[in-house]
Amino acid sequence: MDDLSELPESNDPDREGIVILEDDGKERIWDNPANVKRLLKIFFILCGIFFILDFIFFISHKHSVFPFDGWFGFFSVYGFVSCSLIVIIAKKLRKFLMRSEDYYDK
Amino acid sequence: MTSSLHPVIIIFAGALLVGVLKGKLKGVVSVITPVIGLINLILIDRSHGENYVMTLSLMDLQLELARFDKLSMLFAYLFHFAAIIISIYSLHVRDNMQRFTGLLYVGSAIGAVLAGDLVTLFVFWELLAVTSVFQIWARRTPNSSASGIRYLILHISSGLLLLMGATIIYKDTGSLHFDHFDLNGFGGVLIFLAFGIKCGFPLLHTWLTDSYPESTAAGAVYLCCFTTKTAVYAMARGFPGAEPLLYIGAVMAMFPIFYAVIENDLRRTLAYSMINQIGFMMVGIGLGTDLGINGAVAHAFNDVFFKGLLFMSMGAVLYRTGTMNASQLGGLYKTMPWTAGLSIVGAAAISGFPLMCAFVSKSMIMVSAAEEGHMVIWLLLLFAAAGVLKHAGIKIPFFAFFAHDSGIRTKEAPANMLVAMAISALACVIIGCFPQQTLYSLLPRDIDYNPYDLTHVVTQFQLLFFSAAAFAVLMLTNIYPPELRSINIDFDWFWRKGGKLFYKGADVTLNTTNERVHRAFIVEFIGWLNRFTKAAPSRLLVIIMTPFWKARGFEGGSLIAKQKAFYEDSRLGAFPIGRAAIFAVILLGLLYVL
Repeated sequence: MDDLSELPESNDPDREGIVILEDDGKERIWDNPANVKRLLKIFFILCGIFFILDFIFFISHKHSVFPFDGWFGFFSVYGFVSCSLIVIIAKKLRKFLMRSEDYYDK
Repeated sequence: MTSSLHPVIIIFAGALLVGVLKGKLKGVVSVITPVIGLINLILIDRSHGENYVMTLSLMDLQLELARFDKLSMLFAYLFHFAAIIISIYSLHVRDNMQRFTGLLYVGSAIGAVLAGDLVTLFVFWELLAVTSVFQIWARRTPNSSASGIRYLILHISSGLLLLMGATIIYKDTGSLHFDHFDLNGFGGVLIFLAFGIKCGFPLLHTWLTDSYPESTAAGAVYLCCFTTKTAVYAMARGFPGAEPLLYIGAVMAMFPIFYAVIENDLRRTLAYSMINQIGFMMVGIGLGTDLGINGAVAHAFNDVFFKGLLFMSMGAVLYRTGTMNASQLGGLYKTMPWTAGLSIVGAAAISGFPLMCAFVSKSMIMVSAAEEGHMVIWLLLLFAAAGVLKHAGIKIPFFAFFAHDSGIRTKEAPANMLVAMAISALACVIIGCFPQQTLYSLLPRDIDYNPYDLTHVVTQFQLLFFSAAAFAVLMLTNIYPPELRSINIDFDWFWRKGGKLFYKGADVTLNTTNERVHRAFIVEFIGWLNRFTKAAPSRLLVIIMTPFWKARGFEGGSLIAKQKAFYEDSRLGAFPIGRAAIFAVILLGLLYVL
């Protein structure tokens, strides 16, 4: 975790808005891991519902423009695969693209 | 009531007033100005109807200072709305550099979208560049100064390309009318590039990701609302149906996603997301169909609200915590719950959740691409749509307000910022729920398109939920790359680092040559010449005199002593008067003979 106290001095007019307070010690909703688990559970159930909804369309009718976008579960699979690919490729790209923050000042 | 007052006049007058006024009045006037402008615009719309033009004859040029048709009107309305929201957002700002130039910037953007000929467009296009850079410089950090210069270089170049293109077109066609251009002529290509720089075409996009994160909290909101939108308007006006836009747009929608995932600065992430969104608009314009053009323009319209909202929420975080690094933020929902909630609305809107504005406009573009049979483009856009959810929809609110608790405890954003964000959020929802009653009436082409078809809604939910599921799975399995304090090099490396390398190379070769030449000529040759001119005549005299001394019987040591003494005398010019007189006579004699 980086420290905020290392902010350099500057004339930035937005600086006057900075407020850093002490922690009040109260527990907030996502501090409790049980709540996070509950949220994830609801989320995955919703995913399941939408997946099954597709099945109903599949039997009845579904508008499709291309032959493949009417396939069962096309949008779900495409979304999941694209998002995973994006993250994995981006992670690999870091090897080539990532530099230290002061790279251009050196 | 009717009005024939050019909308820019009101905004510029307001800007001058804001520049002079002090204290609270400054803020009040900056909010009222765009409101009056909006009323004026409505009056013009009501009293003159469509296709009204304000002209000015300048010598033998007929300038169309303002052209009011559906396309330009939509953007003029949009810029007035945006100006009102941003003025409220920046009510707390006392800094004149931002307030005064902010309104000038708004006026320039309005002037540019209303311009009916290329000369007027050029003037406002350059004004837009010059007035907008102050939103970056107002941050007053070394980084923002440097970034502002880089911004200005690209934008002024864009203006110059426009001027060159306009000159060539005037020469070829004899008309300066700003309408559809064709890409077969050189003039058209130059104008296309000029617009392309401001649209953030790939490789020309770096000003966007460079300057947005360096500007002030309110500055980034200004930049995201006006410059690129003016460029999208110009592209929609000048090059509808230009095929290259399809491919350029697809690239623009794709490549920023990867950068956005690994970017640490959240406002830079939004800047990459901006390029991605403009990519969608470019595809819509490139398609050239009624639905495509409408979709592109509608998406630009909506983008001001949802992207503006996201920039405003990040601006509020920057204003309160002083940092924009995802690696330093997290857990802010505890102390900034309203900002967090509004940011989530913006995130849902940009991701295209049904009942949110982007769902309507992005669908138009994608349906149009599919109807035209562009399968690959459609698949790429679908990929990009899933990516939007990932990098803007989830990353922005998640890493700022949730994720791990950074321990930062701060205050909720100021009331004026919350109000501005709430207005934008409301606009996102209203446009999303009632597109027919709101947005559709402003669109340039007639359309009959209903996004709320059951299949479309369900498939969109599937796409979004399963993209989010991928994020959740990658997070839970720790495959997701951690946020690190870092930057990622982009194409501007070539002039930022490459420029430095070139400078260093030039430094080494040119300065070494310079030094060598200096030593050889200035130090060594001149010194030699100096010594030569000093010593040569004396030595010559000594050589001439030696036979005489020898004849007088001087030998060995005494001859050398005599030579040395004479040499010294002649070098210093210290001859006794008699000897000097003899030399003078000899010299005169020589002159006479010669």
